[in-house]
Amino acid sequence: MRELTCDFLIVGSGAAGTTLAATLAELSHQRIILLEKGGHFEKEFFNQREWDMANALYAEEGARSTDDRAIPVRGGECVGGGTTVNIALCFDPVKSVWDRWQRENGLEGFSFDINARDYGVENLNLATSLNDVRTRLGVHRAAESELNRNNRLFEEGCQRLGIRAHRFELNMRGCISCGFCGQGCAYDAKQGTMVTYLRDALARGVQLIHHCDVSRLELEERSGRPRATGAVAQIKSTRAGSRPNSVPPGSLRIRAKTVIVSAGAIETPCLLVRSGHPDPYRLLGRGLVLHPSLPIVGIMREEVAGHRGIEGAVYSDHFFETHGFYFECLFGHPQYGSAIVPSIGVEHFELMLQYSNLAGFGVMLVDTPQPRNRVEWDAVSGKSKIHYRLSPAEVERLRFAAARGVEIMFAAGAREVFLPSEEPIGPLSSPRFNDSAQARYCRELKFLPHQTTITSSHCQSTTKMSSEASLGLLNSRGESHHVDNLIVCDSSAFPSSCGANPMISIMTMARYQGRRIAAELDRYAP
Amino acid sequence: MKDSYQAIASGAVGQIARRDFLHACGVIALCGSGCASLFSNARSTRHLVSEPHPDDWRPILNSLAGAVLAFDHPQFPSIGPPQVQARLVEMFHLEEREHFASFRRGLSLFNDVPLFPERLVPLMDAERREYGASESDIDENSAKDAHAFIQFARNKPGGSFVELSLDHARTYCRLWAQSGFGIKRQFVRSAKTIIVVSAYSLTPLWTAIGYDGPLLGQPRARTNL
Repeated sequence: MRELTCDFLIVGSGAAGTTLAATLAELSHQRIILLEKGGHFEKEFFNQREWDMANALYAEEGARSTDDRAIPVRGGECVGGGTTVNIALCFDPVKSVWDRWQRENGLEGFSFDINARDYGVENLNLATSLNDVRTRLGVHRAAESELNRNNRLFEEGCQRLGIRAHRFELNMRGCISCGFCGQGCAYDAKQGTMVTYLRDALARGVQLIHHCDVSRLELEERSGRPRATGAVAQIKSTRAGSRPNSVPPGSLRIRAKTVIVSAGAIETPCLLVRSGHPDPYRLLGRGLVLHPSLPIVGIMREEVAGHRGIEGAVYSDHFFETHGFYFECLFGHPQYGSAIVPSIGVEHFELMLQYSNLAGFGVMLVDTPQPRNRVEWDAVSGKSKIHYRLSPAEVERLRFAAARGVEIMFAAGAREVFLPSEEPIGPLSSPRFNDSAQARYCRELKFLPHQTTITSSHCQSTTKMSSEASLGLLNSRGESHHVDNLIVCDSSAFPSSCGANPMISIMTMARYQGRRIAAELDRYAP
Repeated sequence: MKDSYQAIASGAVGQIARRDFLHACGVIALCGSGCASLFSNARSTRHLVSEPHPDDWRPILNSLAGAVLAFDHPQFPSIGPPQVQARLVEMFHLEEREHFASFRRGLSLFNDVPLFPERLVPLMDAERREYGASESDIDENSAKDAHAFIQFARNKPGGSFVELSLDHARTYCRLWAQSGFGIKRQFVRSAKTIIVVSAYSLTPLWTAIGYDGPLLGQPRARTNL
C-alpha cells in the first residue's frame, strides 16, 4: 500500500476542514494533508442543472435521507462541502448559545471579547476569528438592489403583520443573481471555502486529495490509551469534470502525528465508529440536530419568478426567542420543487402551472438533541443510517410556525397558500388555504412521516464538546476524551444547535481551533 | 422477509434471504385469522419473493406515472408515460441497481388492489419496526384502510391497478398516501418523487410551466420584478 506522511491529517474539505487547513498552514510550518470524499469541481463544471449537480456535488447523489426516507438530509459531498452548494446565508455565532454551552457543557475558551487571550494565546477569541472569516468571505448584508420579488413579498408580508424581518448577510462578491446557488456557483461569486480558504491552503503547500474514501482511522495503543496515527483510504477514479487528483487511484495509508476529523455531523461519527473509537457513554452519533424545515408556498396574483435572483435575502427571527424558529426565504427549481408540491395528477400539475406566480419561504426550526435521533454506521450497506423523529414539543412549535407562516403569506398578497402536505386538517382535505383565518387549522397538523414534507440541511451535534466525558465525546479543544491526537472540528462538535444557519459558526470555530493548534503544537508532538 | 417489505418502500437493498421467506411462510401458516387472510398473505409473499419480469413491472410503472402526472390535462405537453418511464429508468438506473429490486417487487404488490386493506404480515412487521407502531395503532390503521377501501371498491372495476380507470387509479394512490401505515405512505411517496423528478427534468414540462432553465448562455436574468 502506498504511504504518505504528514504532521496534520484533516478529513473533510467542507466549511471546517478547509478553514482549518488554511489557518494551520498560515500560522505554522506543518505538513498538512486535506482529504475529501467527493470530487473537486470548479465553476466550469457547474451547469445549473439540478439532476447533474445533485449527482456530482451532494452526498448519496442528492438522495441522502433519514432511514425511513421521510426527511431529505441534503449535504455537500465535494471540495468545499456545504459551502459549495448552500445558498450563502451568513449568521454570526449566537452568543447566547455559546454562553449556554459554557454553563451547561463546561466549555472553556471561545470568548466573544475581542481582547481575550484564550489559553493564553494572543488574538485567540471567537471575535477575532469571526472577523477573519467575515473578511475572507466578503460577508455583507443584502442590499436593496439584491432583493428579488419573492424576498420583497415576504418582507412586505412580515411588515404588514408587525413581524420583525431582516436582510440576510451573504458571502458573495459580484453575484449576478442567477438563482443557482444550490447547484454550485458558475461565476465564483459565492465565496465558499473552495474559492477562499482552499486557495489559501493550496498556495501554502497543503496537499489536497479528493475522491478519497477513508475506510478507517488508525488507532494505536500507547501507554494504555489509543492514539490516532493516521488513516487508511481508498482513492477512487477521478470523475469526469473534476480537477485532477494529487494521487492516483488505489489504496493509501497516511501516517500523521495528529488527525483532525471535519467530515460533518453525519460522516464524522460514522468514521469514528468504523475506526473503533471508544464510546463508553454511548454518545457517538446520538443527539442529532437537523433544523427541520417546512416550506410554505403562496400563489400570487402576479409573476414572482422566485427561481431567479438571490434565493435567500430576507429572514425573520421574530419568533426565535419565544418559539425557537426562523422564517427564511427560499425557493426551488422545478425538478425538486415538484416533489414537494402536494397531490398528484391534474391537481399537482395545475399547481406546477402556477410556478412563475409561486412565492416561498420556510420555517427553520431549531430542534433540540434527543438521544433517539442518531446516526449509525451500517457496515452491511456501507452507508450511514439516520434515525430521526420530531418530538411532541417540536411538532407543537411547527404547528404554530406553520400557522404564522400561512398568515404572513396571505399578508404578502397570496390568493392561496399551501403546505407540502396531504394531511386532512379541520374541514380541509389537505393544507390548502383560501384565507388567513384558515391558518388556525394548522394546529391539527400531525407531521406524520411521508404525509407532510419536512426537509433539513443543517446537521449538527453528533459528537459534542463537553468538559464531561459522559456528556460529550470531545473537550473544549475539540480533542477526543478517549483518543490522543484526535481532534474533531465540524458541526458534530456543537453540543446542540448553534442557533442559526451554521456555516459562519462552523468556520469561526475552525479558524479559532486552527489558531489554537498552531499556538499549541507541543500538545501534538509525537 | 420483514426487511424486504421495508426495503420495498425505502428503495434499499431488496434481496430476500431464503430464511426470511421460510419465516414468512411459517408465520402465514400459523396465521389464524381465516382463509382470506392466509390467501392474501400467500399472494403477498409471491409478490415480494419473485423478481417481476420487466414486461410485468413496466406497465405498472406506466400506469403509476399516468396517475401521478396529468397527461390528460389540455396544457400538459405532448410527452407520454413511455417517455417519462424511459427517463426515469435512465436517471435512476431502475433496472440495474440492486436497491431498486425491492421497488420493482413493491410495484407488483401495489398492483394487486384487493390486498390494500389486508393485514399483511410483512407490512405489519415493518410498521412495528420502522414506525414504532403498537398493536392498537395497527388495529386502528387497518380499520381505517378497510373503511376507505370499501368506499373506493364500490365502483371499481378490475382487480389490478393497471386495469383501473384514471380516476380510480388516482383515488387508489390517495388511499395509499392517506393510509395510517407509514410503510404504505412511504412507497407511494417514493414512487411519486421519482416520477415527478424524472418528468420535470424534461424541457417540454419546463416550457409548459414557464421555467427558463439554466442561465448559462442566456442574457442576464431579470430579477427586479
